[in-house]
Amino acid sequence: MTPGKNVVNAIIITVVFAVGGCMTTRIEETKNVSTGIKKGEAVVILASSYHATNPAEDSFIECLSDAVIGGRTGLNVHPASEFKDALFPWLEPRTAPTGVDGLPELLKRPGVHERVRERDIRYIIWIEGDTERKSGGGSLSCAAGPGAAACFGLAWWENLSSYEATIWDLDDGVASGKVSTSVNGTSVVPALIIPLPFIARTQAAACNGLSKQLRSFIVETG
Amino acid sequence: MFITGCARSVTVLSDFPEPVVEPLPLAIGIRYPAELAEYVHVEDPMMDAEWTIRLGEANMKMFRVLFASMFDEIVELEGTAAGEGAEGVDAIIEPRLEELEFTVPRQSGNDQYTVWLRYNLRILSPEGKLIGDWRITAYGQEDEGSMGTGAEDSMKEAAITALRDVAASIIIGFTSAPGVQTLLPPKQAPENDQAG
Repeated sequence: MTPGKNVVNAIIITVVFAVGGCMTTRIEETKNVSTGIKKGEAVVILASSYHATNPAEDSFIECLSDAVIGGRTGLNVHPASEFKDALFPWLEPRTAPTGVDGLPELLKRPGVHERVRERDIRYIIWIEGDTERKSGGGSLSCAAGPGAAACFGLAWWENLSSYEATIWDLDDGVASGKVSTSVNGTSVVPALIIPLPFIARTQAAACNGLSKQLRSFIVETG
Repeated sequence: MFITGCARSVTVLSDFPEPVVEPLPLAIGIRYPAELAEYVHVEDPMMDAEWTIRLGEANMKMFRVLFASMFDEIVELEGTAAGEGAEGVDAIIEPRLEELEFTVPRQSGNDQYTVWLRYNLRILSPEGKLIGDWRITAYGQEDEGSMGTGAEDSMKEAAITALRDVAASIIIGFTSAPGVQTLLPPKQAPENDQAG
């Protein structure tokens, strides 16, 4: 490798790390009432109804359910599909309560309270939000010939992952509060012969941030 | 040959949960038309491959679980004549699937497979006289599989969600459906929604 090429590669690596650090996370929490969870009690995480809001992607719900289980203060997460089946049809997109005002009506339906108690579900966590591409640009072109291929240019794009969790306490029939996260990140792919993708995984960061905040929201009393 | 190779086929199979409802004090005869049990939708939409969606078996499973939970007594009627075999029932229900529509991500420009179903529930007296004609529209959607794979699975899940939506619609709307209030005992009649 020539000294000139070394310099160019060093510049690219510097740019990549500089831009790659550009992922910003914001987490907000609003607690209305005291929380806490007893041993054996569980939470269930559901995407909000698409009739009323912007429900989170299935992949985000799966990520969040897995992440909330982990850690020292991990929560017991009841499978969402089993819970929806057990309360069928009262958590379908058409029938699910769209606000905490609908919670007493749900719980007083014949058989519903019993099924919630049997599963020891303390909290329902409704998730809405999504990940969307805000902007992008640049140019990257590749060419291949006999025995050789190369790419040149630079492409970038900016993603915003924004999610909100609304927590309902089924014991007290109240909205405990909300936790929201917003992660903005820029991905860059510079290429000088070899493309070097540097992807800002905003959805994964949002999942990680929201899960930590949810755990502390529920576990920490007060 | 190329188009045949790209054709997509989905057989919707699913179990449906038993609804959490209090059964209405009615004995109902259910007549399932053959078209419902053998329902197949074939469509060749613009910008996508030809789709064949077989919904017959899932239709039957959904309605059987639903009606068994909704009413005190259910009798499946075999014949096709208006009141045939309906002695002792309070009414007859004939569910029909009139229309299935769908969109794929290439058409809608988002990442969703969507399915709409339009059913007609004909409610008849035991003698076969029409007392109510109720149209129900249901909807289901499912995220596109990652990297464009799993199109059939996504369409199947959207159809299952739509079938669950049909069941939910029937449960919450049955007691106020056309003609139904005349069948209900006085304590049920003023309710807007099904007791569940």
